[in-house]
Amino acid sequence: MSDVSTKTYTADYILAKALDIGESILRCGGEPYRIEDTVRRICVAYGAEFADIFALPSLIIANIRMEDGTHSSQVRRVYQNSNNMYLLEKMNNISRDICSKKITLEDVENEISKAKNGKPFPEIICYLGGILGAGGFAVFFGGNLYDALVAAIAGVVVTFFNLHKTAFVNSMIHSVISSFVGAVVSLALISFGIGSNTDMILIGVIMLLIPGLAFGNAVRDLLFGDTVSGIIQLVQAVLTAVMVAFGFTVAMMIFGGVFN
Amino acid sequence: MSMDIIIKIIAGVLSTIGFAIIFRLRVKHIPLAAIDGLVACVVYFVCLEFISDDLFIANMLASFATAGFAEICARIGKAPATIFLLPGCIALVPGGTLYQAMRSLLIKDYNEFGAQLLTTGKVAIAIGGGIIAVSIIRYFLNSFNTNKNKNKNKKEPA
Repeated sequence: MSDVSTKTYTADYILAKALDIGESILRCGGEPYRIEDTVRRICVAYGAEFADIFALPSLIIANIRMEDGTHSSQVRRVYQNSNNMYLLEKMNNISRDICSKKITLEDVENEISKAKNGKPFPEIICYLGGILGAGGFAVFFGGNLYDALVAAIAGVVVTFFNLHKTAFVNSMIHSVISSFVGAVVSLALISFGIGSNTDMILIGVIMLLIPGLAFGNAVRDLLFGDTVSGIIQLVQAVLTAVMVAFGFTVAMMIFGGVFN
Repeated sequence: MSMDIIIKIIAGVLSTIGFAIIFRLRVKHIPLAAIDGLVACVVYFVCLEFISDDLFIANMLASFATAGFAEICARIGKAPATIFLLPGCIALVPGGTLYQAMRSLLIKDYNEFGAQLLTTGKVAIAIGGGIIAVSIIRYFLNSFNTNKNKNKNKKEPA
Protein backbone atom coordinates (compact mmCIF):
# COMPACT_ATOMS: atom_id res chain seq x y z
CA MET A 1 0.00 0.00 0.00
CA SER A 2 2.84 2.36 0.83
CA ASP A 3 4.85 2.08 -2.38
CA VAL A 4 1.83 2.38 -4.67
CA SER A 5 3.35 5.09 -6.81
CA THR A 6 6.49 3.14 -7.60
CA LYS A 7 4.71 -0.10 -8.45
CA THR A 8 4.12 -0.68 -12.16
CA TYR A 9 1.22 -2.50 -13.71
CA THR A 10 0.83 -4.01 -17.14
CA ALA A 11 -1.23 -2.09 -19.69
CA ASP A 12 -3.83 -4.87 -19.80
CA TYR A 13 -4.32 -4.76 -16.06
CA ILE A 14 -4.67 -0.99 -15.86
CA LEU A 15 -7.14 -0.85 -18.73
CA ALA A 16 -9.19 -3.75 -17.34
CA LYS A 17 -9.57 -2.02 -13.99
CA ALA A 18 -10.34 1.34 -15.59
CA LEU A 19 -13.00 -0.32 -17.74
CA ASP A 20 -14.51 -1.98 -14.67
CA ILE A 21 -15.17 1.47 -13.27
CA GLY A 22 -16.32 2.80 -16.66
CA GLU A 23 -18.76 -0.07 -17.07
CA SER A 24 -20.19 0.48 -13.60
CA ILE A 25 -20.71 4.19 -14.27
CA LEU A 26 -22.39 3.46 -17.60
CA ARG A 27 -24.70 0.93 -15.95
CA CYS A 28 -25.96 3.37 -13.38
CA GLY A 29 -26.79 6.05 -15.89
CA GLY A 30 -23.57 7.98 -16.54
CA GLU A 31 -23.25 9.89 -19.80
CA PRO A 32 -20.86 8.47 -22.43
CA TYR A 33 -18.54 11.49 -22.25
CA ARG A 34 -18.20 10.96 -18.50
CA ILE A 35 -17.07 7.37 -19.08
CA GLU A 36 -14.55 8.44 -21.71
CA ASP A 37 -13.21 11.07 -19.37
CA THR A 38 -13.01 8.79 -16.32
CA VAL A 39 -11.31 5.89 -18.11
CA ARG A 40 -8.82 8.22 -19.77
CA ARG A 41 -7.92 9.91 -16.48
CA ILE A 42 -7.38 6.62 -14.68
CA CYS A 43 -5.18 5.25 -17.48
CA VAL A 44 -3.14 8.44 -17.65
CA ALA A 45 -2.75 8.50 -13.86
CA TYR A 46 -1.18 5.04 -14.06
CA GLY A 47 1.30 5.88 -16.75
CA ALA A 48 -0.47 5.55 -20.07
CA GLU A 49 0.96 7.83 -22.73
CA PHE A 50 -2.00 7.66 -25.06
CA ALA A 51 -5.53 6.68 -24.16
CA ASP A 52 -8.21 6.51 -26.83
CA ILE A 53 -11.60 5.76 -25.34
CA PHE A 54 -14.89 5.65 -27.18
CA ALA A 55 -18.07 5.04 -25.25
CA LEU A 56 -21.61 4.38 -26.44
CA PRO A 57 -24.63 3.70 -24.23
CA SER A 58 -24.02 -0.01 -24.69
CA LEU A 59 -20.33 -0.33 -25.53
CA ILE A 60 -16.90 0.92 -24.47
CA ILE A 61 -13.93 0.63 -26.82
CA ALA A 62 -10.54 1.50 -25.40
CA ASN A 63 -6.94 1.42 -26.52
CA ILE A 64 -4.01 2.61 -24.43
CA ARG A 65 -0.27 2.82 -25.03
CA MET A 66 2.12 2.88 -22.11
CA GLU A 67 5.31 4.89 -21.91
CA ASP A 68 7.37 1.72 -22.45
CA GLY A 69 5.54 1.09 -25.72
CA THR A 70 3.24 -1.77 -24.69
CA HIS A 71 -0.32 -1.66 -25.96
CA SER A 72 -3.66 -2.81 -24.72
CA SER A 73 -7.03 -2.79 -26.48
CA GLN A 74 -10.20 -3.93 -24.83
CA VAL A 75 -13.91 -3.81 -25.56
CA ARG A 76 -16.76 -3.94 -23.07
CA ARG A 77 -20.35 -4.67 -23.92
CA VAL A 78 -22.65 -3.07 -21.34
CA TYR A 79 -26.16 -4.31 -20.78
CA GLN A 80 -29.05 -2.87 -18.88
CA ASN A 81 -28.76 0.80 -18.10
CA SER A 82 -30.71 2.36 -15.29
CA ASN A 83 -30.70 5.64 -13.43
CA ASN A 84 -29.12 5.07 -10.06
CA MET A 85 -27.63 8.33 -8.87
CA TYR A 86 -26.45 6.83 -5.60
CA LEU A 87 -24.21 4.38 -7.42
CA LEU A 88 -23.15 7.04 -9.91
CA GLU A 89 -21.89 9.23 -7.09
CA LYS A 90 -20.14 6.31 -5.37
CA MET A 91 -18.43 5.23 -8.59
CA ASN A 92 -17.39 8.81 -9.27
CA ASN A 93 -15.78 9.00 -5.84
CA ILE A 94 -14.02 5.66 -6.41
CA SER A 95 -12.62 6.88 -9.72
CA ARG A 96 -11.36 10.06 -8.05
CA ASP A 97 -9.70 8.00 -5.36
CA ILE A 98 -8.06 5.79 -7.97
CA CYS A 99 -6.72 8.81 -9.81
CA SER A 100 -5.26 10.27 -6.63
CA LYS A 101 -4.03 6.74 -5.74
CA LYS A 102 -5.95 6.49 -2.48
CA ILE A 103 -7.28 3.16 -3.75
CA THR A 104 -4.92 0.65 -5.29
CA LEU A 105 -5.91 -1.07 -8.53
CA GLU A 106 -6.10 -4.37 -6.64
CA ASP A 107 -8.83 -2.94 -4.42
CA VAL A 108 -10.99 -1.64 -7.26
CA GLU A 109 -13.11 -4.77 -7.58
CA ASN A 110 -13.66 -4.84 -3.83
CA GLU A 111 -14.72 -1.21 -3.73
CA ILE A 112 -17.12 -1.62 -6.66
CA SER A 113 -18.88 -4.59 -5.11
CA LYS A 114 -18.99 -2.80 -1.76
CA ALA A 115 -20.62 0.22 -3.42
CA LYS A 116 -23.10 -2.00 -5.29
CA ASN A 117 -24.31 -3.55 -2.03
CA GLY A 118 -25.03 -0.14 -0.51
CA LYS A 119 -28.44 1.49 -0.80
CA PRO A 120 -29.47 5.08 -0.05
CA PHE A 121 -32.77 3.90 1.44
CA PRO A 122 -34.86 0.72 1.54
CA GLU A 123 -36.53 -0.37 -1.70
CA ILE A 124 -39.99 0.29 -0.26
CA ILE A 125 -39.32 4.06 -0.24
CA CYS A 126 -39.29 3.94 -4.06
CA TYR A 127 -43.07 3.52 -3.95
CA LEU A 128 -43.25 6.87 -2.17
CA GLY A 129 -41.32 8.25 -5.14
CA GLY A 130 -43.90 6.80 -7.51
CA ILE A 131 -46.74 8.27 -5.45
CA LEU A 132 -45.19 11.73 -5.33
CA GLY A 133 -44.13 11.66 -8.99
CA ALA A 134 -47.44 10.58 -10.50
CA GLY A 135 -49.64 12.48 -8.05
CA GLY A 136 -47.57 15.62 -8.33
CA PHE A 137 -47.70 15.65 -12.10
CA ALA A 138 -51.46 15.04 -12.14
CA VAL A 139 -51.82 18.31 -10.19
CA PHE A 140 -49.05 20.01 -12.16
CA PHE A 141 -50.94 19.50 -15.42
CA GLY A 142 -54.18 20.83 -13.91
CA GLY A 143 -55.89 17.99 -12.04
CA ASN A 144 -57.50 18.14 -8.60
CA LEU A 145 -56.65 16.17 -5.47
CA TYR A 146 -58.85 13.21 -6.41
CA ASP A 147 -57.03 12.95 -9.72
CA ALA A 148 -53.76 13.01 -7.81
CA LEU A 149 -55.01 10.14 -5.65
CA VAL A 150 -55.86 7.99 -8.68
CA ALA A 151 -52.56 8.82 -10.35
CA ALA A 152 -50.72 7.96 -7.13
CA ILE A 153 -52.36 4.53 -6.94
CA ALA A 154 -51.48 3.87 -10.58
CA GLY A 155 -48.02 5.21 -9.80
CA VAL A 156 -47.54 2.54 -7.15
CA VAL A 157 -48.42 -0.15 -9.71
CA VAL A 158 -46.04 1.33 -12.29
CA THR A 159 -43.27 1.58 -9.70
CA PHE A 160 -43.77 -2.10 -8.91
CA PHE A 161 -43.17 -2.87 -12.59
CA ASN A 162 -40.18 -0.54 -12.72
CA LEU A 163 -38.55 -2.22 -9.73
CA HIS A 164 -38.95 -5.63 -11.37
CA LYS A 165 -37.73 -4.55 -14.78
CA THR A 166 -35.34 -7.48 -15.12
CA ALA A 167 -38.23 -9.95 -15.06
CA PHE A 168 -39.27 -8.78 -18.56
CA VAL A 169 -37.76 -9.89 -21.83
CA ASN A 170 -36.47 -6.42 -22.70
CA SER A 171 -37.15 -2.79 -21.90
CA MET A 172 -39.54 -2.32 -24.84
CA ILE A 173 -41.87 -5.11 -23.69
CA HIS A 174 -41.54 -3.77 -20.17
CA SER A 175 -42.69 -0.34 -21.37
CA VAL A 176 -45.72 -1.75 -23.20
CA ILE A 177 -46.87 -3.94 -20.32
CA SER A 178 -46.32 -1.43 -17.52
CA SER A 179 -47.99 1.40 -19.43
CA PHE A 180 -50.93 -0.88 -20.30
CA VAL A 181 -51.39 -1.93 -16.68
CA GLY A 182 -50.94 1.64 -15.41
CA ALA A 183 -53.60 2.93 -17.81
CA VAL A 184 -55.99 0.08 -16.98
CA VAL A 185 -55.68 0.75 -13.25
CA SER A 186 -56.32 4.48 -13.75
CA LEU A 187 -59.29 3.90 -16.07
CA ALA A 188 -60.78 1.36 -13.66
CA LEU A 189 -60.49 3.78 -10.73
CA ILE A 190 -62.02 6.56 -12.84
CA SER A 191 -64.95 4.31 -13.73
CA PHE A 192 -65.51 3.80 -9.99
CA GLY A 193 -65.99 7.56 -9.88
CA ILE A 194 -62.93 8.62 -7.89
CA GLY A 195 -61.11 10.91 -10.29
CA SER A 196 -62.72 13.03 -12.98
CA ASN A 197 -60.03 14.37 -15.34
CA THR A 198 -58.88 11.35 -17.35
CA ASP A 199 -56.27 13.37 -19.23
CA MET A 200 -54.52 14.75 -16.16
CA ILE A 201 -54.42 11.37 -14.43
CA LEU A 202 -52.97 9.62 -17.46
CA ILE A 203 -50.38 12.36 -17.98
CA GLY A 204 -49.30 11.88 -14.37
CA VAL A 205 -48.86 8.16 -14.98
CA ILE A 206 -47.16 8.66 -18.33
CA MET A 207 -44.49 10.87 -16.75
CA LEU A 208 -43.28 7.88 -14.74
CA LEU A 209 -42.94 5.82 -17.90
CA ILE A 210 -41.54 8.02 -20.64
CA PRO A 211 -37.77 8.01 -20.70
CA GLY A 212 -37.47 11.09 -18.51
CA LEU A 213 -34.71 13.25 -19.78
CA ALA A 214 -33.49 10.85 -22.45
CA PHE A 215 -34.77 13.24 -25.12
CA GLY A 216 -32.95 16.17 -23.60
CA ASN A 217 -29.81 14.10 -23.01
CA ALA A 218 -29.88 12.85 -26.59
CA VAL A 219 -30.15 16.38 -27.94
CA ARG A 220 -27.36 17.49 -25.63
CA ASP A 221 -25.10 14.68 -26.82
CA LEU A 222 -25.89 15.47 -30.45
CA LEU A 223 -25.12 19.15 -29.99
CA PHE A 224 -21.97 18.38 -28.02
CA GLY A 225 -20.51 16.28 -30.84
CA ASP A 226 -21.22 12.78 -29.52
CA THR A 227 -23.30 12.12 -32.60
CA VAL A 228 -23.47 8.34 -32.43
CA SER A 229 -24.44 8.05 -28.79
CA GLY A 230 -26.88 10.92 -29.27
CA ILE A 231 -28.57 9.10 -32.13
CA ILE A 232 -28.71 5.85 -30.18
CA GLN A 233 -30.28 7.56 -27.18
CA LEU A 234 -32.69 9.46 -29.40
CA VAL A 235 -33.86 6.28 -31.11
CA GLN A 236 -34.20 4.52 -27.76
CA ALA A 237 -36.17 7.42 -26.31
CA VAL A 238 -38.49 7.66 -29.31
CA LEU A 239 -39.05 3.89 -29.36
CA THR A 240 -39.81 3.82 -25.64
CA ALA A 241 -42.23 6.71 -26.03
CA VAL A 242 -43.94 4.88 -28.92
CA MET A 243 -44.17 1.72 -26.83
CA VAL A 244 -45.68 3.62 -23.89
CA ALA A 245 -48.14 5.27 -26.25
CA PHE A 246 -48.99 1.86 -27.68
CA GLY A 247 -49.69 0.40 -24.25
CA PHE A 248 -51.87 3.38 -23.34
CA THR A 249 -53.73 3.30 -26.63
CA VAL A 250 -54.56 -0.39 -26.33
CA ALA A 251 -55.80 0.14 -22.78
CA MET A 252 -57.98 3.04 -23.89
CA MET A 253 -59.40 1.16 -26.84
CA ILE A 254 -60.41 -1.79 -24.67
CA PHE A 255 -61.54 0.07 -21.56
CA GLY A 256 -62.31 3.37 -23.25
CA GLY A 257 -65.94 3.63 -22.09
CA VAL A 258 -64.99 6.51 -19.83
CA PHE A 259 -62.90 8.09 -22.56
CA ASN A 260 -64.82 10.28 -25.03
CA MET B 1 -48.99 35.25 -9.88
CA SER B 2 -52.26 33.52 -9.37
CA MET B 3 -53.03 30.82 -6.82
CA ASP B 4 -53.25 28.31 -9.63
CA ILE B 5 -49.62 28.75 -10.60
CA ILE B 6 -48.45 28.53 -6.99
CA ILE B 7 -50.27 25.21 -6.61
CA LYS B 8 -48.65 24.01 -9.83
CA ILE B 9 -45.21 25.01 -8.59
CA ILE B 10 -45.76 23.12 -5.33
CA ALA B 11 -46.90 20.07 -7.30
CA GLY B 12 -43.85 20.37 -9.54
CA VAL B 13 -41.53 20.41 -6.54
CA LEU B 14 -43.29 17.41 -5.00
CA SER B 15 -42.90 15.43 -8.21
CA THR B 16 -39.25 16.48 -8.37
CA ILE B 17 -38.81 14.95 -4.92
CA GLY B 18 -40.63 11.84 -6.14
CA PHE B 19 -38.28 11.49 -9.08
CA ALA B 20 -35.29 12.18 -6.86
CA ILE B 21 -36.38 9.10 -4.90
CA ILE B 22 -36.94 7.09 -8.07
CA PHE B 23 -33.46 8.03 -9.30
CA ARG B 24 -32.15 6.97 -5.86
CA LEU B 25 -30.42 10.13 -4.80
CA ARG B 26 -28.71 10.05 -1.44
CA VAL B 27 -31.05 11.44 1.17
CA LYS B 28 -28.83 14.44 1.87
CA HIS B 29 -28.96 15.45 -1.81
CA ILE B 30 -32.75 15.36 -2.10
CA PRO B 31 -33.36 18.87 -0.63
CA LEU B 32 -30.91 20.40 -3.11
CA ALA B 33 -32.60 18.54 -5.98
CA ALA B 34 -35.97 19.82 -4.76
CA ILE B 35 -34.67 23.41 -4.80
CA ASP B 36 -33.40 22.76 -8.33
CA GLY B 37 -36.89 21.60 -9.29
CA LEU B 38 -38.31 24.76 -7.68
CA VAL B 39 -35.95 26.86 -9.82
CA ALA B 40 -37.12 25.03 -12.94
CA CYS B 41 -40.82 25.54 -12.17
CA VAL B 42 -40.50 29.17 -11.09
CA VAL B 43 -38.43 30.21 -14.11
CA TYR B 44 -40.75 28.30 -16.44
CA PHE B 45 -43.94 29.92 -15.16
CA VAL B 46 -42.40 33.39 -14.82
CA CYS B 47 -41.22 33.19 -18.43
CA LEU B 48 -44.62 32.06 -19.64
CA GLU B 49 -46.26 34.85 -17.65
CA PHE B 50 -43.99 37.83 -18.29
CA ILE B 51 -41.54 37.22 -21.13
CA SER B 52 -43.12 35.17 -23.85
CA ASP B 53 -45.83 32.55 -24.15
CA ASP B 54 -43.64 30.54 -26.50
CA LEU B 55 -42.88 27.11 -25.02
CA PHE B 56 -39.45 26.99 -26.66
CA ILE B 57 -38.13 30.11 -24.93
CA ALA B 58 -39.69 29.24 -21.58
CA ASN B 59 -38.26 25.71 -21.59
CA MET B 60 -34.86 26.87 -22.80
CA LEU B 61 -34.53 29.51 -20.08
CA ALA B 62 -35.89 27.13 -17.44
CA SER B 63 -33.51 24.33 -18.35
CA PHE B 64 -30.65 26.84 -18.53
CA ALA B 65 -31.45 28.05 -15.02
CA THR B 66 -31.88 24.48 -13.77
CA ALA B 67 -28.60 23.30 -15.23
CA GLY B 68 -26.83 26.39 -13.87
CA PHE B 69 -28.26 25.82 -10.42
CA ALA B 70 -27.35 22.13 -10.65
CA GLU B 71 -23.72 23.19 -11.12
CA ILE B 72 -23.98 25.28 -7.94
CA CYS B 73 -25.57 22.31 -6.14
CA ALA B 74 -22.69 20.18 -7.35
CA ARG B 75 -20.25 22.54 -5.64
CA ILE B 76 -22.33 22.61 -2.44
CA GLY B 77 -23.09 18.89 -2.28
CA LYS B 78 -19.72 17.76 -3.72
CA ALA B 79 -21.31 15.42 -6.26
CA PRO B 80 -21.63 15.39 -10.08
CA ALA B 81 -24.05 17.98 -11.43
CA THR B 82 -26.09 15.32 -13.26
CA ILE B 83 -27.37 14.06 -9.93
CA PHE B 84 -29.23 17.32 -9.38
CA LEU B 85 -29.98 18.08 -13.01
CA LEU B 86 -31.86 14.85 -13.74
CA PRO B 87 -34.63 15.24 -11.13
CA GLY B 88 -34.53 19.04 -11.41
CA CYS B 89 -35.40 19.06 -15.11
CA ILE B 90 -38.11 16.44 -14.81
CA ALA B 91 -40.91 18.98 -14.46
CA LEU B 92 -40.00 20.36 -17.90
CA VAL B 93 -40.18 17.01 -19.69
CA PRO B 94 -42.89 17.25 -22.37
CA GLY B 95 -45.04 14.38 -21.12
CA GLY B 96 -48.24 16.39 -21.48
CA THR B 97 -47.83 17.14 -25.17
CA LEU B 98 -46.74 13.57 -25.83
CA TYR B 99 -49.96 12.37 -24.24
CA GLN B 100 -52.01 14.89 -26.22
CA ALA B 101 -50.34 13.67 -29.43
CA MET B 102 -51.22 10.10 -28.56
CA ARG B 103 -54.80 10.97 -27.74
CA SER B 104 -55.18 12.87 -31.03
CA LEU B 105 -53.94 9.81 -32.88
CA LEU B 106 -56.52 7.72 -31.07
CA ILE B 107 -59.40 9.98 -32.09
CA LYS B 108 -57.92 10.30 -35.62
CA ASP B 109 -57.21 14.04 -35.42
CA TYR B 110 -54.04 13.94 -37.49
CA ASN B 111 -53.50 17.71 -37.65
CA GLU B 112 -53.50 17.94 -33.88
CA PHE B 113 -51.29 14.82 -33.71
CA GLY B 114 -48.62 16.43 -35.88
CA ALA B 115 -48.80 19.72 -34.02
CA GLN B 116 -48.44 18.10 -30.59
CA LEU B 117 -45.67 15.81 -31.76
CA LEU B 118 -43.73 18.75 -33.16
CA THR B 119 -44.26 20.63 -29.90
CA THR B 120 -42.84 17.66 -28.01
CA GLY B 121 -39.75 17.66 -30.21
CA LYS B 122 -39.42 21.43 -29.94
CA VAL B 123 -39.52 21.32 -26.14
CA ALA B 124 -36.98 18.48 -26.08
CA ILE B 125 -34.61 20.51 -28.25
CA ALA B 126 -35.16 23.54 -26.01
CA ILE B 127 -34.27 21.55 -22.88
CA GLY B 128 -31.18 20.11 -24.56
CA GLY B 129 -30.18 23.58 -25.71
CA GLY B 130 -30.44 25.03 -22.21
CA ILE B 131 -28.33 22.23 -20.77
CA ILE B 132 -25.70 22.53 -23.48
CA ALA B 133 -25.41 26.27 -22.92
CA VAL B 134 -24.43 25.64 -19.31
CA SER B 135 -21.98 22.91 -20.38
CA ILE B 136 -20.28 25.33 -22.75
CA ILE B 137 -20.01 28.03 -20.09
CA ARG B 138 -18.58 25.52 -17.64
CA TYR B 139 -16.11 24.30 -20.25
CA PHE B 140 -14.81 27.82 -20.82
CA LEU B 141 -14.64 28.58 -17.11
CA ASN B 142 -12.73 25.34 -16.52
CA SER B 143 -10.20 26.01 -19.28
CA PHE B 144 -9.81 29.55 -17.97
CA ASN B 145 -9.04 28.24 -14.49
CA THR B 146 -6.56 25.67 -15.78
CA ASN B 147 -4.72 28.27 -17.82
CA LYS B 148 -4.56 30.56 -14.83
CA ASN B 149 -3.12 27.94 -12.53
CA LYS B 150 -1.04 25.25 -14.18
CA ASN B 151 -0.54 23.48 -10.85
CA LYS B 152 -4.18 22.50 -10.83
CA ASN B 153 -3.73 20.82 -14.18
CA LYS B 154 -4.42 17.38 -12.76
CA LYS B 155 -8.14 17.82 -12.60
CA GLU B 156 -10.20 15.05 -11.14
CA PRO B 157 -13.13 13.51 -13.01
CA ALA B 158 -16.04 15.90 -12.93
